[in-house]
Amino acid sequence: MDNTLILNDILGDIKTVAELDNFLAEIENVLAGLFKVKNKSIEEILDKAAGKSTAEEIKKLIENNKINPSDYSSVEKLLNNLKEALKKIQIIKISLAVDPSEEMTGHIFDWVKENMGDGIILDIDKDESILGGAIISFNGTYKDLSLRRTLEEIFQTKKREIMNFAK
Amino acid sequence: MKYFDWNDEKNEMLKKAEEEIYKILETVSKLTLGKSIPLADHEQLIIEALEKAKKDGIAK
Repeated sequence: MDNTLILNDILGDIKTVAELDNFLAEIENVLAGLFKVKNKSIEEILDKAAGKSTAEEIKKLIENNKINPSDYSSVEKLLNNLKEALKKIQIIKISLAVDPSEEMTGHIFDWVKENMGDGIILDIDKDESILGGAIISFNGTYKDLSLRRTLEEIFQTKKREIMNFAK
Repeated sequence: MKYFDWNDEKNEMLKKAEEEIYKILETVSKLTLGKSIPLADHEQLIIEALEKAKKDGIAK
C-alpha cells in the first residue's frame, strides 16, 4: 500500500493543524472501535466513532484502495498507514492580525498549494499587534512581513520627512 | 569651569520633546492603521506577504 497515494486522497480536505488534529483523533476512535464490538458493520463503527466528513473520507479510502470493508485487519492497516502518511505533512505557521474566515483560510490554503506544492497545511494564529500582512515560518525560515514591521521601518528611515510633515 | 548654557538646555529639551512626539506619532499610526483595514484588504496584504516570502525563498 502506497502511503503517498493514501495521502493524496486526503490532502485538500485537511487545511489546518486544527483539522488535522481532529482528523487524527477520529481515526484513533475508529481504530479503537474496529475490534471493540463484534458484528458491527464499518458504517456503524464510522457513524459512532467519527464525524460525517471523516467517515466519508475513510469510506472513500477503503474503496480507492480496494479493501473489503468487512476485513477489519486490512482497514486497520490502512488507517495506520494513513496515520504514518499524515506525519509527513509539512506545516506553514502564519500569524495574522485578524481571525481568518473559513473562506479566507481556503484562499490562503489554495495559494500555498499552488505556489509551494502539496502536503502543506496551515497553522494560523492571531496577533492583532502585527496590524496586517503576515509573519510566516516554514522549514526553519522566519519572515516578518507584517504591516507593523513596514511601519516601524518607515518610522526609522523617514524621520525627517515625517517630522516636517507633523510641524 | 563649565558654565550653564540655557541654549544647550533648551535644545536638549526640544530634542527630547521631539523624540516623544515621534513615539506618539508612531503609536497613533499603529493604533489607527490596525483598526481601519477592511477584511478584504487584510486578505490582499496576507497574499502579498506570502508572495514576498516565496520570492525571498521560503518555499525552497
